[in-house]
Order: sequence, then structure tokens, then C-alpha cells
Amino acid sequence: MKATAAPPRPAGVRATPPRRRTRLRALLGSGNATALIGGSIVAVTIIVAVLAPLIAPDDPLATNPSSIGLGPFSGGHLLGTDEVGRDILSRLMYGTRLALLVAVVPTLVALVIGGCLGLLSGYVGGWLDSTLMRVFDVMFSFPGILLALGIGVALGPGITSMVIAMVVVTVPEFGRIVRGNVIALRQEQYVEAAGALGYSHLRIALRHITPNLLGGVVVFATLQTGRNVILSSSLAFLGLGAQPPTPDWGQMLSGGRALLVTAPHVATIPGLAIVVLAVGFNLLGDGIRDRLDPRSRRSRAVRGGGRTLRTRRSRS
Amino acid sequence: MLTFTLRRALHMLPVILGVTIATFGLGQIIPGDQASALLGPTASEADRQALREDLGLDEPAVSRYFTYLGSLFDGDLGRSLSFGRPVSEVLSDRLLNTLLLSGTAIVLAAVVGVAIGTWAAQKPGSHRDRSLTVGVLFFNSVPSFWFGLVLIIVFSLQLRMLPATGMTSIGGGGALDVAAHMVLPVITLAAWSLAVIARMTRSSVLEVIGNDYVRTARSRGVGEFRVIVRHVLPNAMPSVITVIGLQAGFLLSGAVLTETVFSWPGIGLALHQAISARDIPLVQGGILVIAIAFVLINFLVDVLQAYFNPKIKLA
Repeated sequence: MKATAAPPRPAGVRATPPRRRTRLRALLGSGNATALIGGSIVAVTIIVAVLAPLIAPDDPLATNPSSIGLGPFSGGHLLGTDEVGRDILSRLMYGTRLALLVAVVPTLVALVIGGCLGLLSGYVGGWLDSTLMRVFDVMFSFPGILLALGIGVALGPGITSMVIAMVVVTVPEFGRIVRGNVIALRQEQYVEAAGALGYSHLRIALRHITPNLLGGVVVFATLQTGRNVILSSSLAFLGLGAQPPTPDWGQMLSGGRALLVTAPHVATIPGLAIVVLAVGFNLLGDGIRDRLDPRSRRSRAVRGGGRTLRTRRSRS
Repeated sequence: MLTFTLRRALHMLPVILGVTIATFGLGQIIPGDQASALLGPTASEADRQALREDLGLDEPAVSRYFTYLGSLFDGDLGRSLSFGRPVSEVLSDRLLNTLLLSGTAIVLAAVVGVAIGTWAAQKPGSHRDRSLTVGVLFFNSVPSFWFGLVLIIVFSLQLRMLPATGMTSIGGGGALDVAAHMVLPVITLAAWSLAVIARMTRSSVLEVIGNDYVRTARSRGVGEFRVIVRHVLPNAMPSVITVIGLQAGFLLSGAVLTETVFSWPGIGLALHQAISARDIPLVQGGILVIAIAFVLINFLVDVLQAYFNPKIKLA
């Protein structure tokens, strides 16, 4: 009786699953509106970026001196025209490419470099660890945008130097987070056990520690991508990113300042696009975190802190 | 306490030294020939050679760094290319304007942020509490320069209530005039920090408010306002002070964007002008000044923390 009642996998459960759990749904969670909204925003942005040449109504570079600063819904331009008569909607659509590029690429590069440094620093410890942490301390003592600005100016304006600047600024953030996690993981029994079994350090670091880092790092990277949307548009606004006439949101906003009195939409619309994309990545990051770590959901309800504050300072 | 302060001050030295290495490094990563990058394409070969000798470009980097460090001690930050004046003069003219703007902003952000955070924490899960969470997400995702432009459009161009740019009106210049010019940039600069401080206050107040001594105070019939001000806030303050200190540092750098949007004549606006001119000495100087201010603020915060909370010891 008992043996038949409790088989390891009752057939009935499989036959009528309450809801099919695809991998995507497992990640997003059926009730997790946060991740769903954020994910949708990011997904739509990616689709627009890929399809831009097909769906953009106009050439994003075609200027027209006779239609400068047209308002939305006028002259066949859904969102109007900018300070040299280019179609704003088309420029926004092409701008998604650059916006995604300069948000995602610096995150990935900084993730790899910072992750390796953090892993090395946390795992090896000793003088290597203290040297690296001193260097990170110095880099943390620069407010991020200033250091990025300095590097951007020194290397000369352009997308490449902007990406380099953003990577330099964010590497310490990844490095410190990974290092902290590695130090905590090193105490775990399974890591000790792996050491006792005589596994090489490389194998322990890559096979036993790294997989357990991924969850936290993915969350942090997603949130960092949201911050990079803001950072990159700030640098572009200051004139350090893509140079005209490349369609770039920060640049469009900066150009629209000339028409602030007569056509305020030229400057405000690209800003809205920046906000929406940044909100998308932030919601996605928050959602994934809630999904991966149920504790943070409870602590959010209790303490409501949302993302825990990054302490950009060592208490040395 | 004194030992703590001294040891903490000692810890600043390597960081400040590192900061100078980094700003020196900025001048070294200019691609190609520095002399032609600094002088522009129209300069003659003789001029470039003279500048190379002047900068000591034939010497090794280490000895150039020590020359740079030596001149820093003399207060010499080099010569600004776009302003044609010593960098130290350009910066000291503007330092006060930047401090006025970011100082007012951090006071506003701290006072209003703590008030809103405490207010939200009194009723967790309520409407006001959730509005705070949404507000934090919003300001986390809004570029400050865009927020500033929207403020200009609404309050200067549409409602014509406040001046849009600059520090004084033409012909004006009284304290009231400057104050009117400050309203929008201060709000722009403070908004993000305000949200962060409010969130931090909310969570630390919530942690404190559940304590037995708070319940005891209430049971003794102490008024709610007095409970918050006398029993809750003092114990919630340490982590809030840390955040306020960090934000004060970030405000100094956020001023670059805000000052650009509002044409506020501070260090940030000078840095923005330095970008298009590729005025490296000015950028180096500006970054150095702000980074050192940032380090000093962090030092002050740590000392304040130790003063309020004797449990903190230097590891």
C-alpha cells in the first residue's frame, strides 16, 4: 500500500501538470511581474534594434532644412523632427543599437575582467589580495563619471574610448563583489572537501566556486547594465560618445537643447527612451534577484530597501 | 577617538597618492604624440619640440611623475589650454560656486530624505511607502541632465517662474537673485541622492522601530513625534550618515552634468568646456580636486561615525 502510494515520481502529476514550467517561466516566475515587465522592455528594445532598417519610417541621417523642429504627428513625422529636420522616430529606432551596445558591452567586458580579478584576489588572498584591494580603493575614490570623463578626454571622443572608460570605472565594482563572495564560499564544506580530495586549485576555483557565484553576478550585471544606460548617455550628453551625426540618444538630447523654447519635444523624447530602457534593466535585475533569492523578496517587504546599497568604500 | 582619527587620516595618504598617480596617468594615455595632441594640428614643429622639453617627455615616466607630484605641492596644476590661465586659478574661481550648489543640494537631500524616509517607515506597505519605492526606482533610472531639462521646460519656459540658466541675471546679482537661479539646479542635483537617503532612512528606521525600548517608550505614553525624534532617529542615524557622506561625494561629480544643463559657472561647467577643447591639464586638475574632496568627505564621515558609535574600531 505504502510502496505504491509514494513512488518517487507519481505518474498523475506528470500527466496533468498545473502549469507547464518552461525554462523561461522558471526564470521569470509566473507571478513575477517585475521581471516580466523589465524583460519585455529589454526584449522590445532588442527587436527594434535588429529590425531598425525595416521598421524605421525614414532615413535617420536625412536632414531637411524646411522642416526643422516639427512637433509630433505633423508633416508625416510621428514624433516630429529634430534641430536639422531629421525624423526623430527613425533616429530613436536606430539609436537603440548604440544604446544597447554601450550598455551591454562594457558590462560584459567589466564582468569578465573584474570577475577574474575578484576570483583570483579572493581565492589566492595574501599580498595579491591586499594590493588589488588598494588599487580598487583608489579607483573607488574617484566618482565614476569623473574618471570616465577623464579617460574619455585623454583618449579622445568616440565610442571605443567611451567603452574603455566605462569598463575601467566598473571593473572594481565587479571585482569587489566577486571577491567578497569567493571569500565566503571558500569557507564552505564542499570546497574544503574538494581540497581534501586533492583537486587542483584551478579545478576548485572553476568547478566548485564559479558556478555558485553566477546567480549574484548575473543580478549585479543586469543592474549595472541599467546604470550603464545612464552613464553612457551622460557621457554622450557631455560630448564624449558617438560623434554626430550618428543617432545616439544622449547626443540627440544634447542637440535638442538648441530648440528647447520652440520645440521642447526634441530634447525630451530621447530622454524618455533612456528612462524606459534603464527602468527595463533595473526591473529585470530586481526580478531575477527576487527569483534567485527568495530571502531578498522577504527582506524587501520588511526593509523595503530594494537593491542593497553598494558601499563604495572599504571600511579599512 | 584621537587615535582613531589619526590612524584613519594616515589611511588617506596612500589613497591620495594613488589618486595623483591616476590623474598623472590620464596625461600618459593620450594616444600618439602628446605635444601635437596638446597644441593642436596648427602648431609648428619648433613649438612642439619646445613643449616636449617643457613637459620633460624625453624623461622616463617615473621621474616625470615625481616632477608632477612636486609641482602639485607647489599648488601648480599646469596651464589650462582653453582658458589660457593657470588651472589652479580657473578652479579656485569656480570651486566656491560648485560647493554652494552641491552643499545646498546635500543639505536639502539629507533633510527632506530623512523626513520622507521616516514618514514612509511609520506605515510600511502603505500608499506613501509604496510611492517611495516607485520614486526610488524612477530616480534610479532618470538621467539627471534630462530631469533638469524637463524642470527648465516646465518652470522656466512654460510657467516662467524661475530663471533657466546662469548664476545671476544681467544687471542683477543680489543674494535673492542667486537663490532664484539655484532652485532648479539644486533640485536636479539633490533628487537622486534624496531618493537614496530616503530609502536608507526608511530601512534603518524600520529596523530600530521594532525594538523593545521603542515599545517601552510608547507604553509610557511618550508622544509619537517624541518617540521618533528622541528614541528612533538617533539609533537609525549611523547608516544614514554613511549614505549621506557617500552622496555628498557623488554630488560633487554629478555637478558636471547639472552645471552643464544650467550653465552654472562651477568646476563642472569648466570640465565640460575642457572636453571639446581636449584641455587635459584642466581635466586632470578638476578631477584631482574633486577626488581629494571625495576622500576628505569619506574621512569626515568615518570620524563622525566613530564619534556616534564607539563600537566602530579600525580593523
